[in-house]
Amino acid sequence: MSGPRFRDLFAWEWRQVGRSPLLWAVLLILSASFVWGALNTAVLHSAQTAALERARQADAAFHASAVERARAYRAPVTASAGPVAYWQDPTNVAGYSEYFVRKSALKPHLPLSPLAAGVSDLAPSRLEIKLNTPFGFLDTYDFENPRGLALGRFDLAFAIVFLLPIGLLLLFALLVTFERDRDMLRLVAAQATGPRAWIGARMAAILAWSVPATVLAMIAALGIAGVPLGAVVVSLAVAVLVTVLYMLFWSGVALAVLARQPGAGAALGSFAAIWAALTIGLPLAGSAVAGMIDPVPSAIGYVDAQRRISDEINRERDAILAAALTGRPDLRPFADRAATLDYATRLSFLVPETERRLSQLRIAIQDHRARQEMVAHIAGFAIPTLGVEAAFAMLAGTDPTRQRAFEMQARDYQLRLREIVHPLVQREITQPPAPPDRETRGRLNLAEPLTLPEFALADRSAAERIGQVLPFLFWLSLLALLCIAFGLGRIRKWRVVE
Amino acid sequence: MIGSLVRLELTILRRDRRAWWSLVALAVLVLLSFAAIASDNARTDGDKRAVAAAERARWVGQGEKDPHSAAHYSIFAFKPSPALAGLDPGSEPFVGQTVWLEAHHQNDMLYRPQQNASLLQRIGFAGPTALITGFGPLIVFLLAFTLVAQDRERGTMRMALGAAVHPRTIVGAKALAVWSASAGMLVLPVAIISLLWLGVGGRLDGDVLLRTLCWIIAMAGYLALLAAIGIAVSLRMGNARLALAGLFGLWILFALALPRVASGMADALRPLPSSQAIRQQMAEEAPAFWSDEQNVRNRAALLERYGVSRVEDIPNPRMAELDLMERHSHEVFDRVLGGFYAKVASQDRLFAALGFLSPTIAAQASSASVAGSDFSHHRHFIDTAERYRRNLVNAMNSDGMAHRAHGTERHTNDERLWSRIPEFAYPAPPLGRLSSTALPAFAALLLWLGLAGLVLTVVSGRLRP
Repeated sequence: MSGPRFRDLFAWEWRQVGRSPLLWAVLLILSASFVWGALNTAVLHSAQTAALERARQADAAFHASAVERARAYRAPVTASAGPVAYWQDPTNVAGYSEYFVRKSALKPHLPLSPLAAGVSDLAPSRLEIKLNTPFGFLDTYDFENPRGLALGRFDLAFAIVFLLPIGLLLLFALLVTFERDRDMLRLVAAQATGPRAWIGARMAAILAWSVPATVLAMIAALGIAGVPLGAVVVSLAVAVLVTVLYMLFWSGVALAVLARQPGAGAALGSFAAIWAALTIGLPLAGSAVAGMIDPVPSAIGYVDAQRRISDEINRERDAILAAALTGRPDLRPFADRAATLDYATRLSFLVPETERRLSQLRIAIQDHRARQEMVAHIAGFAIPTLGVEAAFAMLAGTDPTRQRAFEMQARDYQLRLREIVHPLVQREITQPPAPPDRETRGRLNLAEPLTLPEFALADRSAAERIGQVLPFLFWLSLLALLCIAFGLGRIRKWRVVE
Repeated sequence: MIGSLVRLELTILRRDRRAWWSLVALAVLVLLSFAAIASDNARTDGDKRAVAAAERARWVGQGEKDPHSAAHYSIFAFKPSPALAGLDPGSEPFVGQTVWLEAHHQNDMLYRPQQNASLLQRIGFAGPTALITGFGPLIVFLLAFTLVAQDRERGTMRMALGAAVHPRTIVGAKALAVWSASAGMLVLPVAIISLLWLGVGGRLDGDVLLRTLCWIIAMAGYLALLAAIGIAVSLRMGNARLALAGLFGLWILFALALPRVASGMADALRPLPSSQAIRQQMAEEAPAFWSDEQNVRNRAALLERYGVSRVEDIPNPRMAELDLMERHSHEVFDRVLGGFYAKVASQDRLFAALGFLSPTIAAQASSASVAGSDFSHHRHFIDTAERYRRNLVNAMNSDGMAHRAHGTERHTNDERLWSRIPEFAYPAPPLGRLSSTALPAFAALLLWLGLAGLVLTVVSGRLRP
């Protein structure tokens, strides 16, 4: 007796599954969660973009006010308007360097950012750059309600990584075990159809409905969230491919469980255990192990070191300044002025020295962060949920690597500003001291506040971002294939008795 | 009789490998998570105590200087982790741990433990409460399904009901068995270990005991209502498949989707201004470095305050101006930053009220409040530190104002003044003082418990053999 061809079985199952209200209920709920997730992140990012724009405007207004005051302070000293203190005077190059150089380093969102919130709710997208803040900027951040941060954001990545597998597994568990739970499996087994073809056709039919619906829902959700779809075609295609492979991976897992032809209860119990292990068990264990092997350097210890070193620097201040002046051929003749330098000029020598003394600790913190990111990257291959989340964040531009690059570039930007401003400040050491009674309100050793270069984030191209995701993409394909092959391999015979 | 029935049901549960081992696995995860968080907190708290002592020594030993310079030097204040943070870290990983209490600025609290966390660290961070509230429903529903739906499917339920005088006793025994197994494995061990840990660390007092008891009650209540829902759904559904699908759906809805949706709703309905805008407003209204034009206005205000016509008649005009600007900044900070924090509290209140939509939300908000790890408690630290800062800066400025200094004259002081400033100490607020934000969550949890009990009573009353 020859059995029906797989194609016929599939066509039959495809029609039957398409009539299931459960399928449409699950797909509808998933689509709604996709839209909510994408919109939720888009709202956050649009608020952050508005904040960046306000910061840009505030910087421009601050500069304009400094220019206006610099012009006003060219006026001669009168009885009612005396000389302006150096820290209020943008025409005093030293005062300008400490109190009037304030720029923002901004990290704009990429067009595909509603795909994943990534670190965008936690890490700052704006860093205030001043010349004398050690290592570029303070450890500030944009406040987000910590309750929301602790819960995690309902973004599209969450819906795909966590909810989509549950929906899919629910469909597999309830639609593939129907005959078992209704005691009809014997009847099916009596037909001229093998269990592999039968289960395979049913699961393929579920996927044949779910995959296109998921892809459409994903694209629609991103479109509704305002993503310019035409501009992100390739990145979007990769995100879609990752999603489809992720669905195939979970289908493989489901196949491995359903190969034993369990009832819905047993199947769902196993699915829930595997899902929980992959989404929380393994990440929790992995994070704990990584934390034990490579504990995070103490931030409290860093505060202590900062304070200790700051005190040391204050104690040794004159000696450090004298050594700095003596070490520079252009300043050596003026080394005797070390003790009389103003605060801002002193900082131009002392802050680099502070950074030098703190650098070991700082490097340890940065190295630890880089190592943890590497561990997370590798763990992504072992824990596909983590890998998919990381891949989405990479494509969306909300990944930790981009954040770290942003922070490093912000630091480089500060050093560039120092290279422009500090020589002007230090050149004043070689000038004759200002007379005690000057004629103009401003010091006028800086004609006008400088037009300093703006920060521009040098971002990786979309192709490079995709390149970063490709190894995981291939790995996920392989994993999905292996799981499916393993599942198919486990289906050998009918198991009519549970 | 009910005691022996519960024991019988517990035996059946233990024999079902799938359900029992799932419960054991979650219980192990809860304990591991507690151990990781509690030991990390103990290490960090030790660091904080040591550096706080060093800060005090630095403050007192800073040498002779202008008191306003001392106010700039000031100290870093460190926030100790809440005693019950091992049970529910709540907001703690996402709020700063230390703040620099310097003159002119109400600085942000810095160094959030999760700020630079990798994706693995962020996804892999879950405290005992998060595990119990997030995955507890799945396990409890699985246990309830095991005891009821499968019993019905096999026909043993029909026999038991036929033989029973009171069907409610049988159902009650099943609910009690599920509840006692889950609470006994998930809540009690970790609570007892937490108390032992706190006892060893010398942090056990009446308030901690009361908080732990409340946490146990909240979590046990949560598991009880889940057990009641699980049993009721399993009894009411036409067959085991439907029951399982329904319970699975409830878990996804209650524990996975609604908490995040509610959090997003609270943020969207009561949006916060960006912290960048807040900082900018504070800097504009209360600048730490003001303009010469502001100097002119300050001078006029000081002349009026001192009732004199010449600046020379004010003993220490520089310090008087610093004090004027400092006190002005307090009003600005209270209005701008206080308003901002009030909005955060309002978001949290709304989130707690959304506990009426899902018992998981109610349990999460209640637990964080009881554990002292919600934003209300964090705000209490911020306010305490800010009061200390203001007292310190005012004391420094007052000392300067009391001493004449004009032109190049400078008044300085030394350890005698610095040591008069008391050491910074943070007494955690007692239970109940900061619970108003979470009140709707407590009410919702009670309502859910009552509702679940009522549903179970009604469903079991309708049971027929």
